[in-house]
Amino acid sequence: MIARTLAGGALADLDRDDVAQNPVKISVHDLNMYYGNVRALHGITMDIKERAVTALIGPSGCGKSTFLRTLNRMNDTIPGARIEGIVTIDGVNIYAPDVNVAALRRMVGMVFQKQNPFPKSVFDNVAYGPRLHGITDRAFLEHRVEESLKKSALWDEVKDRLHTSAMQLSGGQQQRLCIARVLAVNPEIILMDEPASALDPLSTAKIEELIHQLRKHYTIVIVTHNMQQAARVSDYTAYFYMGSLVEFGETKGIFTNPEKKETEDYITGRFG
Amino acid sequence: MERHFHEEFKALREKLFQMGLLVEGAIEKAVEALLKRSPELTEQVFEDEKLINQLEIEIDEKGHSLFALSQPVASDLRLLTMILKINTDLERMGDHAVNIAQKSQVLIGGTFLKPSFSLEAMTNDVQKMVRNALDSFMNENVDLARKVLSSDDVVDRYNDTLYTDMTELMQKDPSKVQQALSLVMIGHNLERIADLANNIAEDTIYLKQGKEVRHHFETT
Amino acid sequence: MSHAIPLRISQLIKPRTRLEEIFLDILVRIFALIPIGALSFIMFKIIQKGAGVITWEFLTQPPLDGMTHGGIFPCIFGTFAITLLMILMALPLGVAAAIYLVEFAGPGLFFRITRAAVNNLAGVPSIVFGLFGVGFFILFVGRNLDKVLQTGLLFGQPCMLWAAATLAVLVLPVIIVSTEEALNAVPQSQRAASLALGATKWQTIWRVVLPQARGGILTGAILSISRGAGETAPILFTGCAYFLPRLPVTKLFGVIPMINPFDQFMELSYHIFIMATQSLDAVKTLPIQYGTTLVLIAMTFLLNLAAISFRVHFRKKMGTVSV
Repeated sequence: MIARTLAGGALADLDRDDVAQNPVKISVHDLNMYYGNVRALHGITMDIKERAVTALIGPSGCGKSTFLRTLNRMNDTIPGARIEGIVTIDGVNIYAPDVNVAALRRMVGMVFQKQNPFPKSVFDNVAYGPRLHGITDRAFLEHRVEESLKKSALWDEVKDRLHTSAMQLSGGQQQRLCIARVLAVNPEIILMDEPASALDPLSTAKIEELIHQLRKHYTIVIVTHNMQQAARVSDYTAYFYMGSLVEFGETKGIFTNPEKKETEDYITGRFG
Repeated sequence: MERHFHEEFKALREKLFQMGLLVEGAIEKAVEALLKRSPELTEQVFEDEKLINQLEIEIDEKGHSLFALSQPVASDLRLLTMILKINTDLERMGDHAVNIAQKSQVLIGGTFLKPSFSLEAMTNDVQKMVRNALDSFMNENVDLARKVLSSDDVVDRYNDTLYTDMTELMQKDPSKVQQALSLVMIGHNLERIADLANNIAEDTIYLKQGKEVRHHFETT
Repeated sequence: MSHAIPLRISQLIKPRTRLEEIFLDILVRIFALIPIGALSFIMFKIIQKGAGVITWEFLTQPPLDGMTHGGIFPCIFGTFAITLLMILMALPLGVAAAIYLVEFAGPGLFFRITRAAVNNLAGVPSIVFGLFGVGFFILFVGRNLDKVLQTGLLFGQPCMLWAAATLAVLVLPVIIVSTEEALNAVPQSQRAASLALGATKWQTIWRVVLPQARGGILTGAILSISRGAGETAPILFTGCAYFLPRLPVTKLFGVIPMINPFDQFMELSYHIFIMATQSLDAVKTLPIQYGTTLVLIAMTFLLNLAAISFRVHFRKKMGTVSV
C-alpha cells in the first residue's frame, strides 16, 4: 500500500541520475582516420562524460566501431591505419609518441561483439589481466577474481565452478565473463563493441542491466546496432553516418526530438 | 527479471499519485470554500491548480521520454499509456475544481442558498470515488475499481435531484437564478469529476486484466 | 499463383538410368578399395614374415655373423637418437619461422618469398637433401668450423649431428606448415582480447596463442618425427654407418652418458636398404629384413597414433574452440 500522504515540498526529480554535471573523461578533437588512402573518419569532435554511458549508433560502415577502436588504439594493430587529430583522456593525448599503449589499454578496457573467453578456466580468464602485470599472489588474485565476477553479476552463477572451462558457460555468461575479465584490470573506461548482438533477448537484458550498474563507476562507450538498446542504456547518443558525427547529445533528446533530420530519419527507420 | 526502467515507471506512477492527492485536496477545498464561506480556500484551489498543471507537463514529458527510451511492451506498455491518460484525467479534474472554486466565489458573495440535499454528501461521494479510483490504480486493485464504477450512479442521481430542485427554485424565485445556476454548475462539475474517476477505474481494470470495460457498464 | 500449372510431386523427381548408377557406384568403391588393399597386402606380408623374427634378443642384440644373425638394437637406438636430435633442431626453428610468418610478417614481398621457399622445400626429393647435407653441412660448415676452431677433423666428417641437421631441414616444412595452421586456427578475437587487456604482442603470443596452438604444433612435430625416422636418402652420406661395433654414446665430463653427436650410427631404414642390396647373402638376411621393416613400420605407426591422440586430447581440452 502506498501511504496516502503528499510528499512535502518539491516533488522528487524522476530523471535518470543527472550526469550532465560529470566532468569530461574523453575529449576528441578533429579526429581523422585513414585506412591507407580511404578516409574512415571525418573530423570527429566530441566530449565524452565521465561515469556515463555514451552510445554510438549508425548504419553499418558508418565508422562507429572504427571510432570506438581509436579510443584504446586497437586500430594500431591494423596495417595501414593512420590517425590525425587529438584524443585526450583526462587531458593526456593518447596518440602522443611517449604513450605506453599496453598501459592505455589497461585503463581503457574493451568488450567485443562476439564473446571471446580464453579456453582456460573461469578463474584463469579473469586472472589473465592481473597476471599479465606480474601479480602472482594467490590470495590477491582470488580476491580480485571474486570482486570482478561480482561486479559483472556472474559470481552467483559460477562460484562453484571457477576451475572449469569458460567454454562450458552459456553465451550470455561468457560475455559477462569477458566483462569481468576487463574489470579485473581496474579500467576507468570500458568500450563495448555491440556486446549483446550475438546473444538471446534475456542475456541481452542482463547485459543491459549490467551496463546500467557499471555506469555508476565507469565511463562506458558502447557501439550498438540496436537503437532500442542505445535508448535503454545510454545517457548520451552519437549518431554517425559515413564516417562523420551527425548528431551528439543527451539520449532523451536524440530519441524524443532530434535536431537533425538525418538523425530523425535513421532512428525512425525512414533511412535510405 | 526487473529492468532498470521499471524503477522509473514506479517513480512516475508515484508522481502521478502525488498529483492525484493534490487534485483530491483541490476538490475538497473548492466545495469547502463554499460551505465555510472561505475566500482563502478558493485562492488555495487556484494555487493548487498551477501546481497540478506543472505536474501534468512534467509527467507528460517524462512519460514520452520513457516511451522513447524503454520501448515498453505488454503490461509495461499498458501501464505507461494509462499513466499518461490518467495524467490528463487528473488535470481535467483540477480544472473542474477551479470551476467549482470560481462558482463558490460567486456564491460566497451573495446570500447563501442551501440546496435541497447535502452538497457536502455529494462532494464526499465524489471525493471517495476519486480517492478509490487512484488507490485502485496504485495498488492495481480491480475490486476497488469496480466499486468506483458502481458508485457513479449515486452521484448522477444527486446531480439529477440538484438539477430538478434548482429548476423549481428558479421558476419560483427568479431573483435566485444566478445563485441557482452556480449551484447547478458546481453539481455539473462534480458529476464530471466523478466521470473522470470512472475513467481511471476503467483504465485500472484494463491495465490489470487487459480487458476492455470502457463505454459500457460491467456486467460481470 | 492461382494460374500456376499444378505439378505432381513425382514429376519433380528426375528419372535415372539405374544401370549407370550401379556401375558408377561399384567403380568408386573399387577405387576406394585400392589403397586399403595395398596397405593390407603390405602389412599382411610384413607381419606374416616378420612377426616370427621378433624376439627379445632381436630387439636387444647387435647384428652378428655378417648380419645374417643377431638383432638390430644399434639401429633402433640410432633411429631414436637421430630423430631426437633432429626434432631438437627442427622444432624451435620451425615454430619460430611459423610465428614470424603468421604473427609478424606483413603481406609483403619477403613474406611471399619465404612462403614460396617453404613450399618448395617440401617438394625437394630426399636424395637432394642428402647431397645438400654433404655439400653444405659437412664440407662447408663442418670443414670451416674445424679450421676456425682448430679441431682437426671433428666437424668435417659424416656424423650424427649433420645427419640430424639434414633431416631437420627435410622436416622443417612439415613443422612450419603445421605450426602455421595451428597458429592461424587460433581466432583473431583471442589475440584482440589479450591485446585489449593490455598485453604486449609477445605476451599475447606466449600466453594465449601458443597454448592454444600447442596441440597442432605437437601433432606436426610427431608427424615430422615419423617422416624423418623413415628417411634413408638424407642420411646416406651424412653419418650413417654400414656397421658399427659400438653404440654412438659418450660420457659427458666422463660421467653422464649421452648420445655422441660426433659419432656415426646405424639406422633402421638404412639397415634394411643395405641388407637388401649389399649384404653378403641377401637370402639369409631376408627374415631379418622383414623383422626390421616390421619394427620400423610399428614405430612410425605408433608415432602417428600418438599424433592423433594428441590432437583429440587438445581438441577436448580447448572445449568448443576448435583447434
